Amino acid sequence: MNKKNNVLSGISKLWSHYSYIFVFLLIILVYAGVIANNGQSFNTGHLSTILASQYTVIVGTIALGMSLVIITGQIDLSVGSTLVITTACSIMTYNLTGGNVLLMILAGVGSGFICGLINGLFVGLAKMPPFIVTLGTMLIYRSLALSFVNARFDFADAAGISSGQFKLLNEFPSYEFIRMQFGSGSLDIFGFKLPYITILFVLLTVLFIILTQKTKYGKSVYAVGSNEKAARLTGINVTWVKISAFVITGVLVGVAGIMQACKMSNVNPASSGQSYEMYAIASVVLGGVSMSGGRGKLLGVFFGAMSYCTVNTIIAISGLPITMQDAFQGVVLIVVIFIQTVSPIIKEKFEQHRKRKLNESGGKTNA
Amino acid sequence: MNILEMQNISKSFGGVKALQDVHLIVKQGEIMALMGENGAGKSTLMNILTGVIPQDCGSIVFDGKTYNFPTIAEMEDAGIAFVHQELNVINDLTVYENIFLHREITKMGMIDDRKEIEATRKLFNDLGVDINPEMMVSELKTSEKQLLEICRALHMEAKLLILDEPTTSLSNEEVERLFGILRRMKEQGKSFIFISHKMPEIFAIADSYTVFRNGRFVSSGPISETSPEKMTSDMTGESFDEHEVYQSRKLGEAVLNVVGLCGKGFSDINFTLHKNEVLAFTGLAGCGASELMQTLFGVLPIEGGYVEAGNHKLGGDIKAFMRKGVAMLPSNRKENSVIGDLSILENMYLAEHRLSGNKPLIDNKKEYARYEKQKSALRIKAENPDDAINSLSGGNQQKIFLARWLNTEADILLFDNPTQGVDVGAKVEIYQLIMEFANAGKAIIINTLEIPEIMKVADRCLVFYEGKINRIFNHDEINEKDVMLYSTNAINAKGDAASE
Repeated sequence: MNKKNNVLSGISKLWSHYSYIFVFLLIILVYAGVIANNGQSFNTGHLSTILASQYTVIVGTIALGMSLVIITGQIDLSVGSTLVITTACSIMTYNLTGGNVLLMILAGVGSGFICGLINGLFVGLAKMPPFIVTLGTMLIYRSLALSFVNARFDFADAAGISSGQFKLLNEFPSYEFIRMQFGSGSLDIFGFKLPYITILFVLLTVLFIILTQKTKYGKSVYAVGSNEKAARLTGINVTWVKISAFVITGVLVGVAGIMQACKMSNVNPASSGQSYEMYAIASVVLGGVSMSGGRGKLLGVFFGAMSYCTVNTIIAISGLPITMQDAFQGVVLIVVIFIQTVSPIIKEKFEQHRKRKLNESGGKTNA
Repeated sequence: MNILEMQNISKSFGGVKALQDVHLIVKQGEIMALMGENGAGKSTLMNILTGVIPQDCGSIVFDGKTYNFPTIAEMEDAGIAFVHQELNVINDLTVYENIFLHREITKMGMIDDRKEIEATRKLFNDLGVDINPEMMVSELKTSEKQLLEICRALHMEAKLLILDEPTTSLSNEEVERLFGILRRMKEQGKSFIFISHKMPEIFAIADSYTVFRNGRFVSSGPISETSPEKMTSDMTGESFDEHEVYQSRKLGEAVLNVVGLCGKGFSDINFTLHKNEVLAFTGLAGCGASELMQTLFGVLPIEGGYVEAGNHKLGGDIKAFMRKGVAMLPSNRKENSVIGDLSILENMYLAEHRLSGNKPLIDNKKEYARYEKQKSALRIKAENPDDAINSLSGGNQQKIFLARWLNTEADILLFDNPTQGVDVGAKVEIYQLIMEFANAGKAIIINTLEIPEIMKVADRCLVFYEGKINRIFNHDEINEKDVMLYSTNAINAKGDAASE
């Protein structure tokens, strides 16, 4: 009886700390089932496809920043539009500088920095609600990119602007490296193909796990999200922490923009990055980060991004009618979060019930 | 006839025993005073009674019916109403809308305002309450809100009302009016549990009493068979001695010089704080002492005058004050200190990290070592530094926050109401620690409304009235009556009357 209880409490502890891994494994199982149903067998190639997918690497990279913003108790709706700007900036810079990769990276990261800073300043200094500010910039950023692509500037051809999109030109020597190697190539580890772009995502995840768990800055991010007033009274500059979360997110969207440029070689302001803010939020939430701030792990976000991507893949191959795909995504999201929210409540009820029983039987022996 | 019998109630939170085998009996038509210091277990017992939390064991019999693990709704239906200290009225509705909230009178699905106003007026008439039913609650005085909440409970046909410190925000006149209403309702057969710390009120209104100490039942009986002295010793324990903590010390050089300081809620403040000194601020709620303390830590802006520490003028944000060796333990621990999602260790090291930002990585080994040092120095009772901060009792949490600031090696320690929500044992320990800090060369200011506390620790006491220092007492001159006279400015009122 006691042993059984120990095992049970061990499992429940593991579940509460690493529920995002269980969620991921469960979704992978479903994925394997769907594949088997289609008459194939699940193999490492499928895993490698998930790891290489834009929903894992690009949305995942954005989600790392989004989780920082959410942990401080805010939200950033502008990331999808920012992605269009940063991708456009890095593509144009690459094209106009004759294929200079360093300047391309600088342009992507720099434009993300500026977009994030604008959000941060309105929220941090002007104390405006982040939902409204980033809703506004979401509209502004995309609209700017759209009008830019349609403006027919003299340098449009040289910058790679054609037919409503920004396109990476393939005439420079570095093209082979960034597009074919980094963008679509992969490292072969005993037959398992690990895409280079995924390696970058993994490195970023590790960096952000260290940032949030091992640095003084990271702890102040949690403190601000958990109790802003108390955080301020320990000397934390709350305004600065809030602004920094947006700026870091902007920079990460910049990196995601470079990934997009290398992986897809183009960006279309009218359609690219559409709803990415929702995908990023979904990844963050599937990763077990609390929407009310103060709680959550960046490792969770890594798994959250993969879970989200797998759900998308399942939908794509399941033969579900296109009109129903969004509904299915929504259902999965709600079910997972329902389990995460409701299971502690059920656990508590169960505990209460157990105590009541103990009490009743105790009362009987007394009588 | 007993309307309520609670027997053998026990409750623990984590490892902390909040209640141990206590009982409580209320007779029909009486006012029963429930007494005990903070942390004695009064609110835990009331939460059990109203179904907010379940007891670990024990039985509840109310109005002849046994309740095992009741829900909030069950106890409300049974006729128990809890009038909380923090008022639960809704400011953006009118008085009568508050009275009828969730139980609206309707006519064809629409709220019948006229009938509700009529009924409210009648209720107020019966009780002798003079409030316009159509006023917005936000326009009411605090005392009227208190009355409104009591009226609402009565309108719900409560048989037993729990009044949690109902007089804290009332003037003497309003207290009299409230007592009048309570007596009238008592005659109508209503019963009350009256929670208060104010002895004179207890002896003016209560019929019987029950005293708890540290989660245990101590005594009970008719109020006529006890005395304020007996009750105080029941509440605090026999060994309680007001002056045993205080030791006089030789003061060092001046470390903080406040000159003509003006800010939110206070003006023209002058005083000097010395090394090894414990200075107390006191006064009524809203006297400006807490605001002054916050200004001395950069939370609120300096609006005039200046503050000097050593030869440096202080100013800027909180971090700038911290760099100059100032630390502040804020009042209202739950709101201003506890960071609930972080562990005990993380809660402790947060402030020091602001001063060591040049090393951005956290050195866990060093942090654990520091924690162990503080844990033994402050006699903190905690199992594992990685546990949640909320797993600790109030007193131990407060010690973690003391450690948070000692970690910054500040020389000037500001404590705003440091024993709020801390149990008796931990209170005494905090006083002893304050003495130890002073002996070790810290300069300390403690802001508190509790005069016995001042007598235990302070070398000098600054009494505030309406944002100004009304009087400075030296340790030997501090006594409850004089401090009260200057806090309420009664002394000058008398003077004015005499001169007229």
